[in-house]
Amino acid sequence: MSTKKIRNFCIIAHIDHGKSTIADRLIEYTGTLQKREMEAQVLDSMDLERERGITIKAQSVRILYKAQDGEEYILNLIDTPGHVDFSYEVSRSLAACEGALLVVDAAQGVEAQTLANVYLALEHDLEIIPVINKIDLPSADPDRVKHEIEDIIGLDASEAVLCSAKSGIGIPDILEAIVHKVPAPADKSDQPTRALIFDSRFDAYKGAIAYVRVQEGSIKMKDTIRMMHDKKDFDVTELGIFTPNLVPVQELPCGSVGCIAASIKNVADCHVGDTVTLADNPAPEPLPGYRKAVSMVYCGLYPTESKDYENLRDALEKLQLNDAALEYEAETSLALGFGFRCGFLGLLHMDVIQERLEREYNLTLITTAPSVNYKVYKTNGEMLEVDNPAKLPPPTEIDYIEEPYVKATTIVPKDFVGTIMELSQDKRGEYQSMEYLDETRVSVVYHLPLSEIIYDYFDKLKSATKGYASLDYELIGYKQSPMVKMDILLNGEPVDALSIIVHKDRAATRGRALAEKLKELIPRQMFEIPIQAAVGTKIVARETVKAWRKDVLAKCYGGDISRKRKLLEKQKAGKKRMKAVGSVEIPQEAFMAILKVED
Amino acid sequence: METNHYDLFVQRDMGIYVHIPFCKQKCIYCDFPAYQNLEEYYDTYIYALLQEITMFGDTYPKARTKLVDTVYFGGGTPTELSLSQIEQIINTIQRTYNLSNDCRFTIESNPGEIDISYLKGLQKLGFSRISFGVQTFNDKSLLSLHRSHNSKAAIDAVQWAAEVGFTDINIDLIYGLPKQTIEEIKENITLVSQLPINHISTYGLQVERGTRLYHLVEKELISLPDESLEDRMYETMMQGIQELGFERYEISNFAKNGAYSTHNLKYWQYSDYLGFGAGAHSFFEGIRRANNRNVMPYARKIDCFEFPIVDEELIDQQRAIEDYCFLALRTKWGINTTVFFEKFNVTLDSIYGSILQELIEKDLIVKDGKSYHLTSEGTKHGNYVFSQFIEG
Repeated sequence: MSTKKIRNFCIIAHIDHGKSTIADRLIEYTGTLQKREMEAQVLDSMDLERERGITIKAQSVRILYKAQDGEEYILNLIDTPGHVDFSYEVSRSLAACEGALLVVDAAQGVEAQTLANVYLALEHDLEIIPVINKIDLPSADPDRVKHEIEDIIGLDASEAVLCSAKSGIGIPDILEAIVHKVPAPADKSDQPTRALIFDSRFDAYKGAIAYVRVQEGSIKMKDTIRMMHDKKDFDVTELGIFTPNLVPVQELPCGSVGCIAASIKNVADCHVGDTVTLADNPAPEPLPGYRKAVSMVYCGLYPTESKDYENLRDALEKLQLNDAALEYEAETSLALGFGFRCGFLGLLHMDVIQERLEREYNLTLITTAPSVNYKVYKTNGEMLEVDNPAKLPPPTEIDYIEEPYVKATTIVPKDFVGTIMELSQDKRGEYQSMEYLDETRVSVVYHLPLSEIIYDYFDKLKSATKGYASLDYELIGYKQSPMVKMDILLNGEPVDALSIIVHKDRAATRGRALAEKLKELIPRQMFEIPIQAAVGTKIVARETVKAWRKDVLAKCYGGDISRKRKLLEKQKAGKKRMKAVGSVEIPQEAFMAILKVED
Repeated sequence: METNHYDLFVQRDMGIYVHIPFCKQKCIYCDFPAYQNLEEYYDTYIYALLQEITMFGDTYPKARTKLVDTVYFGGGTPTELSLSQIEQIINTIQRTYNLSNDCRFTIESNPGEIDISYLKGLQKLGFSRISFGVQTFNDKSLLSLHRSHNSKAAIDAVQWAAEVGFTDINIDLIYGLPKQTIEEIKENITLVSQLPINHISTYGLQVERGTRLYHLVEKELISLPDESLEDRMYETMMQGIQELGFERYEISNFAKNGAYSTHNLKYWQYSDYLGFGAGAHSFFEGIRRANNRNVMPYARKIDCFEFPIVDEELIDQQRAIEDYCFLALRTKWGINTTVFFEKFNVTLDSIYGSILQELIEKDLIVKDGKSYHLTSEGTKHGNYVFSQFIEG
């Protein structure tokens, strides 16, 4: 079978610019699914995704389209995640495509996130088709947006497709543009098989399932496949394509997109990013272009009930199969017992994982404050990488500490430039450059400590600019900073899981704010609880949680025992999310308190 | 295994509670089913009430044979009704259920709304125990609560009741009222010492959602004593009452010479009780039931020969154990391990061993022979202690 009729493409867009809605319309227009089968936004299949309106996992769907030239084409749409945290997932999906729809909101114009993804797509040599969406909005200005695309991104936007996914305008034009502009995959069916795993999933019955794009050769039923990275062989038990429901096929030919089940029991044997080849005629080299995800943010995840430790480990193992970017290793905390240190792409990613663990695996977790990875140079010449404040060596052993820095690009309306600069300065940022994108919008570049970004920079940015700013950042390296460890003592005892690493000039203010916040969060208990923030032996802040008050003397009216009981049940439920550390019960939120304090 | 799960609880005789949801004036803190200005519905309500009393007996013949040793008229203000209306209710209860010879009749009343001849009438109807909603003897405080009586009326009511022959008299007292002082509490206790009462119910003012008080506190039109003052009021009240020779036999109930409220004890000791009237609660043969709180929907249901039940729960063994523990702990007798074993056929330790140990370590409960009960610290934080016994 020839590859000439295949088009593999993805959609890149800023959040809310309408990516998922366009995907839905393409599926609906081509009759891939009947309208009644469409749940709004078919591709965002996790509850979480639909609730948050974001795509977390890459998804794909095969669309059959009879073009105006009378030929039928196979269009494989690979949906990509749309948040700054997930640029690695985006890169995997992009590598499986020849083209991309660049969706830009006709009113909002080009955003920082759009830019970042376009550059990624260009890196992968994708043909980019600009699509201007929401043209029926009263505030739509397609001509201005075309200019922006040309000026800012440097793409020819003269043939940009104008559409409104919501009302179905321009959908046929998009399909035609895909057929005519996106190149067909190169026909390399005679070469040894190489297929890229761009996603994977765990199925309780079929084992690990690899989502692949066949770049060269082909894969047939009963072939023995080999994972080139892990050098392990498996017999294919099922091949499938997505319509978007899984439909079994006999062969995944060159250029196609589909999935492979091969009784891969061990989840670690199906690495996203690996290349699949055939055991009897292996390709000499794996496919290039994949980069390993880099964890930006680390935190500890602990079960509130220690008996759930095993369940948490199993759940992380399963999630890791679906999410190559999730890292974890076992750790112990004096306060919290056995748990895991986990690495994430960003705060949203961390949030999503925590929520999935709680929802899908029914676990109650305690998450410690997020940290970045520090390089600690010791006086004995050794260098330690520390992503857990509790693991920071004593100050006497530390020569100096380096912290990760990012290049943060913010695009804002020009009225907010002052605000951005003030905020970035306040977050220890170093000004790099500023550029007017057009008469109204400015791109501002700062070098910022990553720790400040994960702390509250993004939230502050959003609120200071009324949501108009968009942010993208990339790691640029490490810089020496005077960082210190701040301990939190409850009832005189340091609680390791509450320690944070902080710039020494900020320690006092942040300590005070944190102690105040903890006072709010820690419920009153049988005895008075002093809260202290300390750097070394120096106490920088102190607050007190008063002893609890009476709680029992209400009259019981006419034998209404059920009401009494409901009250007690409520009280009990409140306790469930608490962790007893020594004699103090600490609610889950307290461990994340640092994220909620105001400087 | 099929067991009659309610057999576990058939220990004591049964109680009957009758709810009269009418008041001259609703107090600002009250969130019980009690309504003012419904005089024109009294007859309708009594008609429905009588109907409910007989209907329950007809539907559950077992209830008719069980011995009843307490009848309690609560409210609202039961003495809003005329003596003949009360008599009708008592007659219907007597016709339908199996009242013991020494069955004890209690009625709640408000000072200032009854006179000596009315009290005499109640006594003739068989009431031997009366409970007055005094709350405080301070006239300013009474006014701020929208109570209709003053302190003189309260003193008169108690003395009249004693005169006409009530053997058991209770008063309710509240502490933690707006602008209340420690002095006021002490004055209340001095007055109590001069009155012929043998029972006191006392509790801290609660601000319940949906009350006028809640609204006033939310809008900051009324301010309540701060925590440390309220704590001192509590201590003053508890100490003062006990110094007068009253025994604290339940968290908020005090009795002289063993004059316990035998009806209320049924709630804590897991006995059966039937509740009739709007918003009344029953616990019969292992099932808890709650009636509709609103007068007209309550009456309408009964008019159609249906029970006005809005909530019905079957109490299984697990739930029974939990309820038993947290209720029993409210009383001075606490949880008796032998009684527990007899009731549930498992040892208390096998279920709550580690919890009991932890509570003892925290000085919230003590073991005294075969019983566990609250310490004075545990009494203050009863809800925490009780919640430990609940699976949740």
